Parts: sequence; structure tokens; C-alpha cells
Amino acid sequence: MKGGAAYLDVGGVAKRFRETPVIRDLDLQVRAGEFVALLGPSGCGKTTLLRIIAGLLAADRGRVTLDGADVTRVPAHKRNVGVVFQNYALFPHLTVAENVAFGLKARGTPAGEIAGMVARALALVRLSKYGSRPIFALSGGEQQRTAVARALAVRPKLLLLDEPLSALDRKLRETMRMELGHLLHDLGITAIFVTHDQDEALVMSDRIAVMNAGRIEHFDTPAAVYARPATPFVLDFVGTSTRLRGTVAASDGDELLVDTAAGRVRARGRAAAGAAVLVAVRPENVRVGPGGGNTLELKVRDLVFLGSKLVLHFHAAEGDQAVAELPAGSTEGLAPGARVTVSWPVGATLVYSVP
Amino acid sequence: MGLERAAIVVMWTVTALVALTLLAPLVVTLAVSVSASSVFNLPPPALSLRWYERMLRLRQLWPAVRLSVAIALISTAVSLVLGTLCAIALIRATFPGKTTLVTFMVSPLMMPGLVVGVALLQTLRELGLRDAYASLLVGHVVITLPYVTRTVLASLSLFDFTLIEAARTLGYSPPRALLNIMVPVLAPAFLTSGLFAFLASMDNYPISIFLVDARNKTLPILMLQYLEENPDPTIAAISSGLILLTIVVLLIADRLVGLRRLADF
Amino acid sequence: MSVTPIAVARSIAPRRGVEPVALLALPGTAYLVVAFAVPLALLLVTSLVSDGRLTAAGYARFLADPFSWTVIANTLRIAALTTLVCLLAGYPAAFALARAPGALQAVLLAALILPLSVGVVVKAFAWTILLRSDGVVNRLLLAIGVVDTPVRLLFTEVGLVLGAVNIFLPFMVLPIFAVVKLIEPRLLDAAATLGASPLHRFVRVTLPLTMPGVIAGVAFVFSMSVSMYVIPTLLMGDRFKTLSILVARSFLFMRDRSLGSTVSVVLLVIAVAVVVASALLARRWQPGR
Repeated sequence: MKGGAAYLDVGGVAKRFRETPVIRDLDLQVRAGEFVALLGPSGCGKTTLLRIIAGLLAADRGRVTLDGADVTRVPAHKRNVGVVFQNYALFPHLTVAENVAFGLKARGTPAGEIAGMVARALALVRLSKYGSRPIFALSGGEQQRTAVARALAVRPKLLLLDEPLSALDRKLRETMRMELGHLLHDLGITAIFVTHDQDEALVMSDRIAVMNAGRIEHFDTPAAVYARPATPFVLDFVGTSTRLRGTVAASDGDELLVDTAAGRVRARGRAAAGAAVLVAVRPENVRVGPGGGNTLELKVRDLVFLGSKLVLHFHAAEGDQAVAELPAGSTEGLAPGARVTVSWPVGATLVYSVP
Repeated sequence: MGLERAAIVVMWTVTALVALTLLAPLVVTLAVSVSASSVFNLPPPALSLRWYERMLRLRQLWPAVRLSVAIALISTAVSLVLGTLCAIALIRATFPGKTTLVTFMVSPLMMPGLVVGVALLQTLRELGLRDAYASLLVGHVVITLPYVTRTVLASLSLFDFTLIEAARTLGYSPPRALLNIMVPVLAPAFLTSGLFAFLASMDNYPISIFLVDARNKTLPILMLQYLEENPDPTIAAISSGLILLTIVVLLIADRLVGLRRLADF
Repeated sequence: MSVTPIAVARSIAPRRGVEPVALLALPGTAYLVVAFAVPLALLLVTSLVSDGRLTAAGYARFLADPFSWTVIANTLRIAALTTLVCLLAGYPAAFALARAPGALQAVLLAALILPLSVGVVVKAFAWTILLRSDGVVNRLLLAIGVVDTPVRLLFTEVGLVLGAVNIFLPFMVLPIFAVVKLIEPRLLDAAATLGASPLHRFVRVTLPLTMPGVIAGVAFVFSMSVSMYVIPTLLMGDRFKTLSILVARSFLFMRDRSLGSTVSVVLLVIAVAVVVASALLARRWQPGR
């Protein structure tokens, strides 16, 4: 485990614009050296939270503590929190090197040292020969790397990245994901990045905070968020699943029997008989053929061949969905319209109460 | 933070002063025009409309107004055509010396009017053109063309030309596509530059003074002459008429295009 | 917004033949060449010709006369003062205009544009009323207690600069406003997160980015102040001579064409110098492209 006490501690923060609450009573604790993703749909408040942490926006309530100091009232230019903006916000009237040197000059770094620090920062992002280039002559990827170098040059306590890769094309995005991840880990920088792309969050972060409507619904490692999503929203936003609505037919200790439109499903959990629940299971846990635990008879709707795997979509009741993911292999008996038996272990079933 | 606060206070104070001094001459003119006294006293001792009556009876006034308006309208119209064509060429075609050409097209705005006027007078006389009306037209197109070229060029630089290509794939010939698609999009630019060009022409003194003759005088020339000969508030009445007319025109322009657009002259 | 409104994309490869679109520029360009450039060139030529010979005697005479230098100094001094005051007042006003909320912004814009449209004669005339000993300006100064007796403003340089500044202010404010509008607020956010104090942000980000507008405004106001005729005529009268007044007197009253042409060319040289200087400066300060 890295660090111990929270390096960044956001407590009880709330913010509203006009009458609309954008962030509701939010807590977040990030450890030193951690790389955290803020994942959520547009409008969930993630960029607002970022701006509050950076000091560009004041929260209505709550407290922000960084490295032991209360920075809630400290203005952005005294917080030493670096930001890489979504469209990079590079100064158009300065060259690459001058952009990178900007923060150093603002802090009164002696002129003799600036050149060396700029060179080091540019080397980190592999832009060493680009120092004298004007901004408009750079490609998207080069601009992004310049923005990163500029933020890192001043050795910030915390680095915030707002959708850093969204403006890049796909190939470049995948390359940059790896590069950025390695760079920040090597430097040991604590970083938070905002994204709406779940793949990015899963690949790059140590922990993911899934946000919805101004609140963090789940904050845990990618594996945990994927395997055991805390709420139906997280279940749907990260990955896909077979999800069926139902009512608790019987409960015995911590085993539940749930009636769904597709059949009876057993799950581990506690709920009262008659309660409305949602049961779900991740597609890779579902196998074709009878097996232990839960078994259902489903009709195939679509068969999607993805090279290394096969995805089966089944007909389901209104509001439900059924998906199974199989390793590549024989597709015998799996044509659309075919009736298939699927099964999965009871322990892999997720269950949520529905208000 | 104290410095920032102080800077903001200074900024708004200066702006308030600027706004007040900009409007002051207009208010003064309006006040003097309704003064009963023939001396320019403020505040006016009594109110009277006699200067307006006097203005209406001024024989030379209306021909001058008609002349100024006619010259302004025609030269603006000509400039709109010439300037737009030029702006299209500058945006679409590639040829060396574009930046220099743009500077040249806009430069009449920055040249001393008197010098341009006397130069034009000399040249026109050499060519045998003695007609004041025609001479004024020639000179006023020179004044108005830069306004149009500049504004339309700036507007065109933001225009998406793939719209024209889309129109062509849908069956419009290139000229028709330009006319039907580009003209409506450029309408605000035409309005703005047309307005500024018109006003620049109406207001012009330095070029006009050399090109008028005894029978054809434009309004500014008449007004300055009147001021030098009989300084009485009639001049204020004429000016107030212009102010009120301009307010109406600006209100209409704001309705059509929005005052914010006018700021992009 | 620079004096040349946009940075027109520079041509890269030379093309064979002329594109038809390029010909659209021909009518407008030809017109200005014939009605503007040629007459000015002819003026230059006639000023150098006397009795059928090429001679610069007219210039020699003019430049040798100390009075000429007084006139040139007057012209440049007034123009410089007017431009400076316009800049000092207009720069903050442009920012206020950009930050003002909707209704206030409309009012400020109206205050800027309405006077523009009313005409130099009208405004100069109004200023003659304002600047009198019993005029509003003096009464204001007495009221605040800045002076004890009315200050003579009419027929003084102070009065002239006041009037000129007032009339040329919109030409300083509007170009700067156009540029301030375009500054991305995120650039200032980025500067803050890098540790720049508000002052540092202004000096290193805002100021450089507004330079194209400042250059345009200064070029406009300076060239207009150098060339102005109606305003000094009404506010200063006969005693004060600027180059423009000299040109008008030479041609209209003294009928001295030779002097008039010479002075005209001097005035022209100054104006062209301003255009060239501002174009060069604009190129240096144009961010990107």
C-alpha cells in the first residue's frame, strides 16, 4: 500500500451553480503517489471537482487539505497544484520552451536554472528538440506532451488532468495512456485525472472514483470496481453485464432466491422477502451449458464475433439485458433464435436493492 | 489581492469617465439646440424651438443634405460590390503578396484626407473631369472601400466554404451558390461595414473640400461654413437632427444585427 | 484584430497561370490604384518638378525654414499626446467593455458607436461649447476644487487634446475590445495553476495577447490625429499650425500650390511610416499562423 494518511483530503465539499447542485457532500481521500481516475458521464461534476481541488473555483462548503495543509482558502497560484487542461491551454504567443518555463519564471526561479529544468521537463516527454517551436506548429500529441511538461516543470504537489487524451485519435490515445501512466509512476507524482472513457480509467489508474450526479458512488481499485460495482449505476457505466429485475421470493440467512422474468436466480445477500431487487453477473462469468449455481434458458438474439472472443446477446424482458462472453471456439448451436442454457456460479451474482 | 481590487476600481472609474465624455458633446448639442438664447449658454435660460424653425428655412441646407446622402449611398453601394469581390479573392485564391495587398486596400483609412483630396483634385483636373458630383463620387468610393474590404474580409475568414461545395453537389451553379449561401451569411458584415462606410462618407470633410464647387456642397462643408459665418444655435439644431437620425438608424441596426456585431468594424 | 484585419494565409507554391478567383480582386484593386495610388504618386512627382525640371528645391526651402519644424513638431506632439491619452483611457475601457454584463455592455457599446456616427463637425463644435470659460468642463473643475478660477481651455493645446481624444477614443477602444474578447479564460487559469500571481498573469499573458489590438488602435488614432483638420481649426483657430492646416491654407487660401504639395508629401511620408511600422509590429506580435 502506498502512503498512509491521505495526501489529498477532500471533505464534505458541495457546490451549486445558480440553483442546480453540481456536487453534493463529496469526500475523497487520495494517498501520496497514487494515480486516481475520476470517471463519470458528462455533467456528473467531475470537472467541477477538479477545479475546486486546483483552486480555480471555491466550493460552497467543505474543506480541501493537501499534504497536511488546509488549502481551502488558498488561491490557485499559491497552491502548487498542476493542471493539464482538456484543450491544453498552451500560451499561443510563446514557444514550447517558453511555455514550459512559464511557471518557473512566475515563481522567480533564477534564470540560470530555468534552462536546465526546462530541458529536463522536455526530455521527460521526449520533446527535447522542440524547444524553439511555436505552438501552432505542433500536432495534437505534441501539444499534449508540452502541456504535461509545463505542468511538471514546477514540481507540483499534485497533478490534475482534465480528459487529457480525449482530443487524440485512437492509436495515439492508446500509446499515450501507457506513456503517461509510466511517466507519472516513475516520478512518483500523485495525480488525478478526469475521464468519461472507462477503458482509460481501468487501464491507467490505481483507484477509480465513479461519479454520478455530484456524488462518488464507488471508489476502489479497477478490479474491485469491475468485479463488485457498488451500485447499479457503476455496474452499467463500467463494463457490461447481464442484469435482471426481480423480486425476492425467499431469503435464508445470506442466501436469496429471486424471481425474474427469465427464471429463478440465487444470490448471496440480505433482503426481505418481497423486496424489489436487481440481480446481475458479468458476461465473462457466464458459460453455455448447465453448470453449478444459476441456470437459465435463454434465446439467442445476436452473435458478435470479436476475434479472441464471442459475445452472445440474448432476448430479455423489457428493461433487462442478458449478455455472455465466451472464449473463441465452436459456435455450434449458437445461431440467432437458438435456445441455449447458460449458467454461472452463485457467488458471482451481484444483487442490488431497487428503491 | 489589494492590487487586483484597486485595478478593477480604476478600470471601472476610467470607463465611466470615458462613457460620460463620449456622450457629453451629444448632450450639449441637444441642449443648445432647444435654447431660447442665441448665445451658447448652458443650461439654457429658456426653451425654444426657433432654431429648428430656422434650420427648416435654410435654403442651402436641403440640397446639401440630398447631395451628401446621395453620394454616401452610391459610394457605399459601389464599395460593397468592389470590396466583397476583393475579399473573396483574398480568402480563396493563392497569389504572392496577399498581405501587402490587404494593407494597401485598407490604407486609405490611415492617409491624411486633405492630401488624398488635393491629389485627387489634381489628377481629375488633368483628366478633364470638372463635374463636382462625379468627382465627389470618385473620392468617396476611395474612403468607403477600406471599411467594406476590412470587415467583409474578417467575416469571410470565419466562413465555412464547404457550405458552397455542398450547395454545388445539390445542383447550384457556383455563382448561384455564392449568392444564395454566402450573401445571407455575410449580411451582418455588409450591414456593419455599410453603416460605417455610409457614416464615414456623410462625415467626410478633408477630401470633399477640394472636390466641391459653389453649387454642390456636402453637408459637413456647409456646416463648417455656417459656423464660421454665423455662429448661432441653428448649427446645433442641424447637429441634433443628425444625432436623432443616427439613434434611429442604430436602433434599427441593433434590431437587425445586434450592437455587438457593429463593434467589429 | 490588426490594421490588416486577419493574417491572410501566405501562398506556398507558385502556381501556373492565374486562378479565376484571384481576378475578383482586380476591380477593387484597380480602382484604388487609379483613384488613390496614382494621384498620390502624381502629387509626389509634381512636388519635385518646378519649371519643367526635377528639383527638390521646394523641400530644401521648406526644411530649411525653422517655422516648418515648429509646424512638424506641433503636429507630432499633438498626435503623440492624443494617442497616449487615448491608450491610457481606452485600454481599461476595452476590458470593462469585455467584462460588462449584457445590458451594461449594450449601453457602453452605444456610447462608443453613437458619437462615431455623428460627425466630426458636430462633435468639434460641441467641444467648443464645453471648453468655454463658462462651459461645463470649467464649472466641473471649479466645483471639485481643482482650480480657483476658470482655466482657459479653448484655443489651447490642452483643450485640443481633450477634444481630439474624445473624438478618437472609439478607434482605440474597439480594436482592443475585439482582441480582449478572444482571450481564452483557460489561459489565465493555466497561468494561475503554474503559480503566476494576478499581476504576473496580466503582464505575461493578457498584455502580450492584446498587443495586436493595441497596435491597431495606436496606428489608427495616431494617423488620424496627425491628419486631423476640422478639430484643430475649430478648437485652436488661426494661431496654431499643424501640417494639415498648412496644407489647407496653401491650397485654399494662399493658392501656393508648390508649398501645398511639399507639405502634403511630408504629411504623406509620416502617414506611410505609421502604416509600415504598424504592419511590421503586427507581424511580430501576431500569435500563431
